[in-house]
Amino acid sequence: MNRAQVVPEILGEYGAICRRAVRRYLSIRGDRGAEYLGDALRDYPERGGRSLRSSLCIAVARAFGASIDDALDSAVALEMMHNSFLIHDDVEDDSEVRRGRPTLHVLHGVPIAINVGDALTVLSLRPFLRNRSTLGARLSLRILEEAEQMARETVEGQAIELGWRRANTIDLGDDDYLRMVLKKTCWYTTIFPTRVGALIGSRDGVDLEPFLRFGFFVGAAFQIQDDLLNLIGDRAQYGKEIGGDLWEGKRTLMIIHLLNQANDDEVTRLSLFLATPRADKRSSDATWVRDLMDSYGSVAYCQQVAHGLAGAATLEFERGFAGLPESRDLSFVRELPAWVISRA
Amino acid sequence: MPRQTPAASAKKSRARAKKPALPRTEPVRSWSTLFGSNATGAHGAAPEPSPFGFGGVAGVATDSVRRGVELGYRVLDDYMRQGASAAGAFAKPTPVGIPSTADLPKMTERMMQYTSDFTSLWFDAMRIVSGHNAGRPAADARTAGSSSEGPATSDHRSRWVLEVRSERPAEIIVTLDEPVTGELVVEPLRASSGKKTIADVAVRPSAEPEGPLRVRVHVPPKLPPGRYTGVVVDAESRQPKGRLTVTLR
Repeated sequence: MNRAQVVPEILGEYGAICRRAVRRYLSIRGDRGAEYLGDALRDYPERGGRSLRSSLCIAVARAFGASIDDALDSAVALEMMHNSFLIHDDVEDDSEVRRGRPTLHVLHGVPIAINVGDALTVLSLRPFLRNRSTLGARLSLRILEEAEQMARETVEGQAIELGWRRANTIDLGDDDYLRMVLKKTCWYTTIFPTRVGALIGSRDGVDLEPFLRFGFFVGAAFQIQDDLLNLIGDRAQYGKEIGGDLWEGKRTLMIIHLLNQANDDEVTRLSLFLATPRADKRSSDATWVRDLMDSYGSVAYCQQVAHGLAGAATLEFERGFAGLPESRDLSFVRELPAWVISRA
Repeated sequence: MPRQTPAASAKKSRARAKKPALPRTEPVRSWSTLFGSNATGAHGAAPEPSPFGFGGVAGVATDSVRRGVELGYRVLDDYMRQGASAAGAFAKPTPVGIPSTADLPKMTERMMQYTSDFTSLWFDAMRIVSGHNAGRPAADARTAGSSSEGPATSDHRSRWVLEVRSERPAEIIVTLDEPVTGELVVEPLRASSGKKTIADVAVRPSAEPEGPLRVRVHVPPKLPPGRYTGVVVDAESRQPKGRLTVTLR
């Protein structure tokens, strides 16, 4: 088994299965606002994406002995919620590009985009409820409980980040960032898929705490790498606007590092830049911030932190997944930390 | 909580509040063993070179790496401590006559068990009424008893032979992907908490197409109640084919 290939292979394989299933759930018949709902509902899911969350859920369930069908509805529900979060995120951040194309609110306007996001969240309940027929009522209820916590943690994390931007908070440390990322990113990207996969695979027969640990570290490394790609990635591969986080005033780990390294004059100018609305920001200021990051080594610092977190994820993998038989799915989970920090 | 600073007064607010010293005297986790020679694989294998770009050697990792890991563990520990104290708040005494919230987990478990039992009955009834499977897994057998030996049947597979030895009443759930062919191996069933296992287990498909599937579970004496789960794997490909769960009452 090729270690480097197992992650993209499984992402491709399980991602295709999930996309087909999502399509079935989003096939709204009749004239129920097709133009402004049905077509728009399918837009983001049809644009592709890596299907990391759904694939992780299926792979963990498989590693514990479940079938793909056992985990498919939970994975599909998560994929639909993820797309709903993306639509609302794009509105909140006023992002312009998603998966290589204009964002939904740029195409259809903010009201329709928000309604489509709401619809995806509501429609994700259907696959969660369908779990009852394959997993039984008790396990389905446990998965719904996990979903409720995941959704709550995610919106709390998003609220923290939006609050920082609204109040132009600059007195932040790395721990503040990790605390925010634990909620905003890790819960729905890696913690929930891993815990629910283990729940399904073991039929609620294992302690879930180790999967919270694994999910946190791999998810935090994933988010830092995402922030780095937003700054230094290739637009064609990344699918989003390069430098978009800077223009949106996001408190990435690079910005927090810079705020803690720069001198007082630089911090004052940086603070003003972050507080300025996107439309009023000047390109020359963005370039100045980017150059300042290079001079203080902020990018290299964040790369190293991401490496450390990915290493910790590997340690937690050894703890949480010990004793499971070797399989392709287990290899996928083991290789995930290395993949998240090496992806382009 | 971070202090919120308006942009105009950013310069004034540079005097940062220091975090209080941690009460612990040593790190919660030894991250450094990650890359060191003591690290071994999940199955006792020798460590492979680190994929994280630091040469897989202890001491090479930079301070930034160390800082990231230590902060990560600190944030995670804080988060879990907050979760524990939030859960503890539910267990405070309540006025006489009102059910204590400490009983909630038991009540919820009981309620879910009733729901599960009712749903199973409902599925069975629907299957009889409609004349087809109402959505259960393709091969799924469930039985319960304190000690039983002999054949049992399932609607999903023509014949099952269950051999169970247990001091305690035991519920056994076998879920397998179809088609079930070739030799299967059952990993030792592990307790959901603790390190107790049930190692003497087997699932054997018959060599004949319509032959019975034989399931053997021998529970060691004095094993505590709980749920024990193990993965069923294909002996040749080593791919998971299902799972075996034993619940001891």
